[in-house]
Amino acid sequence: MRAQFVASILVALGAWSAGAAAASWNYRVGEEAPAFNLKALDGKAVGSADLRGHFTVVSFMTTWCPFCNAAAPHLQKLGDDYRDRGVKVLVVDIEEEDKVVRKWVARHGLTCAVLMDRDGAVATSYAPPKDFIPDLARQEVMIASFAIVDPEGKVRFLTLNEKPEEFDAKLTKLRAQLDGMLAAK
Amino acid sequence: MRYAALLALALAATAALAELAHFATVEAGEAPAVRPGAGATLRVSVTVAPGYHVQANPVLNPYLIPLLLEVAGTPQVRAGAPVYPKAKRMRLSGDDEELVVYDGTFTVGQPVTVGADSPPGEVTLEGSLRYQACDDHRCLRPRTLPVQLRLRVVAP
Repeated sequence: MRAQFVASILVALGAWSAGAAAASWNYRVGEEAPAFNLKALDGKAVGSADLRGHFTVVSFMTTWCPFCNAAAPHLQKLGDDYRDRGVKVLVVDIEEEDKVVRKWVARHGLTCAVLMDRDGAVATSYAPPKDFIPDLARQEVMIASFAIVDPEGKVRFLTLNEKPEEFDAKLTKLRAQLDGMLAAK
Repeated sequence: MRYAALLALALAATAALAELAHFATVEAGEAPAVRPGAGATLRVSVTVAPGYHVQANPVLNPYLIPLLLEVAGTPQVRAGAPVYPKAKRMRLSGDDEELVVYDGTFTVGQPVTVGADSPPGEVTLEGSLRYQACDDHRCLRPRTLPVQLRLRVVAP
């Protein structure tokens, strides 16, 4: 019995240290964007397959997040500025009801697709492993983060606001990344 | 085998607690002595974790989640509308709008009125404090803390 107890502790310690070693905030960059299929506010089904063929800026937001409110007008401007270059923008709203999100979208004049991630599962699938800010739920870590997915469906950029200087309401850095990717196409 | 099961339970409980990490604490003020028919203001001291702030009450943007103290009265004691402190103003880089927030330690007042027929004795009021915290680069889901306030009804 004692041997079993010791073995259990060793297994638990091993699992913990393996998780800690695997983490990197660049998690997901270069990998296939996690698959999803969500319903948009307009009722249409939008899946990860719809990201193929063009660059897509994916924004993980909630209506109550001040950072998301700050970035929303700049996200709309980005969509307007890059539309002619074939870039699509979409918002993944995390764990909210249609009614409040619809009003919020109208307030900010957002014209992009807004996908309703009702249980936070899609946000969680894009999130880094648990040892990245372990005090927070995975979908919580993704609030106010942005990703760029390329025409082949790979994540090319993911900002998680790990440091103060990474919060970029005007999406200046994201635009610079996008410009570089479009130029290299 | 039993020890392994206990360890698994402990790890699961730890994981669950990690999901509910809090970034503020509350402390009730001393229980004041109040006569039947009289009123008082109970004090709730809120301390926000260093580096964080919480949205104030009221908020400027109706979509933000304001600090909210909710205290239930009892048959003897009526709870009034909370009194929130004056907020600080701040603006996120790139944001057109200001935010009103609290940080550090601040006090929310909870007015109460004791019924005229209340017998002497200690009264406990149960309540909750909901807050939504951010630091300078991340916003957290709203969280709710339990609050207990006490007062002593004393003979006139």
